[in-house]
Amino acid sequence: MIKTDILIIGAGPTGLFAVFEAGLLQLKCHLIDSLPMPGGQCAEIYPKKPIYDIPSHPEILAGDLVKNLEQQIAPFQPGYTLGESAISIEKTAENAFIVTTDKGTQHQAPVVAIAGGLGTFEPRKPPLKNLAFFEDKGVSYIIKEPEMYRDKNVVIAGGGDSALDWTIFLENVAASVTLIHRRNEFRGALDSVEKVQHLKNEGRIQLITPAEVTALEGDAKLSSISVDKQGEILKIDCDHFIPLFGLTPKLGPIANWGLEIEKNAIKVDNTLDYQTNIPGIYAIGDVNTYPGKLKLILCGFHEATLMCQSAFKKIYPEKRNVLKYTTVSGVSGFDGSQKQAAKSTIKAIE
Amino acid sequence: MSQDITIYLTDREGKLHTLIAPTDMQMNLMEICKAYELPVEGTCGGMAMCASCQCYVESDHPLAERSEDEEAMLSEAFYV
Repeated sequence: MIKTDILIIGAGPTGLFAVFEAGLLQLKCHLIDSLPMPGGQCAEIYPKKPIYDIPSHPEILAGDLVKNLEQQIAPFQPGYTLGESAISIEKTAENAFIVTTDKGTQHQAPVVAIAGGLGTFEPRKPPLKNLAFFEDKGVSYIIKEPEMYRDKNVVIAGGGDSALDWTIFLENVAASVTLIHRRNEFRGALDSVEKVQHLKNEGRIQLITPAEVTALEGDAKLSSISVDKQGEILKIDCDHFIPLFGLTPKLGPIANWGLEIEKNAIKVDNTLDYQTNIPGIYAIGDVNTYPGKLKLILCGFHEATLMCQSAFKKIYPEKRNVLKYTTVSGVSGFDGSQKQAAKSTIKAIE
Repeated sequence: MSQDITIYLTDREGKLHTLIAPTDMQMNLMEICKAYELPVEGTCGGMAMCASCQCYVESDHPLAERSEDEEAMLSEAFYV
């Protein structure tokens, strides 16, 4: 069981910054995120795009914002459970919460802060009949164990970086790789597009464009797919079909935690501390809603700060505390690091 | 004062909405829909990264060509 002071669900910019504000109050944090890396939407959807409304950053790439936040919170040694989604929550007799992920990892904390953004990123699934039936019987949306595809016949569909990257990678592993895309143009790193072109020229992969997978066939498991290439129907024998159409966020199991939900977001008390209708559970950043809510990173930072102050009072109701300025008090990391403003020089002039 | 334009929008249920759109706020169709609190997703906020705000333009108003990014995104969207 992982134990911490504030359990943060969602490692996007708001969740990451909460670690800093909690650290200033000597509170430890642990983050859970369904993505394999911190950063949330900034890392998954638009790492290379600029953001212009982060105070004091006239322009910053979303990926760099995440990198800076990770650097800023490093002294507070946050724990991470990545690549796992929080699915259930229960309250203990001691008024703590236990949050369990889809992989069974358990976390315990007196305070839970949901910073889940738009929700858990889930693969976008093509609208094919029998798709659900063939899941784990030949159809997968994420490549977890590349060895699974050794000496198998694999079909990949999609036109972005993941489709290109996995085509290149699996060409070395699988018996055959077929890449199918609805148009001839691919949107990916130039280098990857050129590599796939090269593999196609050498006959090491089969590229079928413009085309679309229209049906999945097989008895107990997938054995072939049908492809519509401009009206011509091709049947391709295969062991695996991997549709890679990106990820889309869904609020997911959190919607069933007994929290008050309005328009796919969690209602919070914004007059005080961004707490939900369940005391001890807060919601900050894009995942919450209140009158006047704006889904902006800078608003998430503010919400995270107020949440931490309230969490401190909840965890230590008897302890006196006052807001301190980092310029005055510095930053004392849990790793023993110390940041302090330089002392002014005081010297007599004789 | 800028001149408002009127946009007639039919939603998925076939219901007609009349949207009055200002022309000086640099809003696109997805944003106008959001401003009217219509249930358009627009997850990525207009970055051409998710294809969750598609529409069919039925009038013959001259509009900008679809950008490369938009084409690429639509080619990965379903039911289009």
